[in-house]
Amino acid sequence: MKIYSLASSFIGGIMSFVLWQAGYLSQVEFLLTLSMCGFLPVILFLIGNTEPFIEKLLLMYPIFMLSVIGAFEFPWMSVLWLVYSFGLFLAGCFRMVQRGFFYIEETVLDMALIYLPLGAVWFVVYSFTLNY
Amino acid sequence: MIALLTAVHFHYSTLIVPVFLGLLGRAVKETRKLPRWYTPVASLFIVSPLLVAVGITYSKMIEIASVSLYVGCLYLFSIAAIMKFRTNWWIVASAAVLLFTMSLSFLYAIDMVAIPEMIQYHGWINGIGFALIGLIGYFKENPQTHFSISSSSFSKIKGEKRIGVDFFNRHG
Repeated sequence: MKIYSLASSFIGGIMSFVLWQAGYLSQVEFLLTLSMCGFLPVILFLIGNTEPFIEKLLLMYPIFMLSVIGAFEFPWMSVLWLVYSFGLFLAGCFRMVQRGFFYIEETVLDMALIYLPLGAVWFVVYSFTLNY
Repeated sequence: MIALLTAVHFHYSTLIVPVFLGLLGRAVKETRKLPRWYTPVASLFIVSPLLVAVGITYSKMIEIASVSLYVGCLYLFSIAAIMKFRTNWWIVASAAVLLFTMSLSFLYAIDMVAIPEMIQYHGWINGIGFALIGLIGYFKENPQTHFSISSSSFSKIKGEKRIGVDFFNRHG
């Protein structure tokens, strides 16, 4: 899983960089896709590399990474990312409920996942205003 | 543009900062108890996105106060990270960068810096200097959780309306 998440991050980061250099993404869009496509797999690995639910989400990740890139051309694809971020939100909730709200450092990690759909909603709003 | 910048902030300040703080907490816990400041700072990181959003929407004073509080907590976090990971230069560099870029956030809140400069100096330096370099550092450390869900055992016995002293006799 370590190699897989590292490879996903690497491919996502390189892909964002190439698209930015090719003029497909602006510099702020590049910073956004860098976080979504480049950093997220490693973050998921660091949060829960032994947890089956997060592992499954990590395995599904490449499909949704492509949806982020596609969303700049086809806005409906950003909704796929919203669905995925909702999956991460559920992962954060499950971790928190199973643990029982103890261990503040783990709660902070859960909150990072729980806040993700808010970012995804703004991404959906942006991709729709971009193309219409 | 505002929607894009909001999305970017949600993918950095509410994703990467809490993750780094949580991983710092895990690493500290390996050798000793968490310091006293950790719980209030962590709680503030949890509510700060909402506080800053309320400030931006309703009142400049609340915005300045919440941003100052957030920046202060980030300073504390950076110094703690530098002290904990003295030998990991990736994390030291990332935390040092944060000290500079977050000063700009405060200057932006009091209208001393404009958005284009913020993208150049706050956005880029945070994106690469803080997030990317910091992530490499934490990936090298890879601190493990102290509460492993997969190795915890949970009972399959479920309670009913009445538990009572004879509960185990009824379900034994």
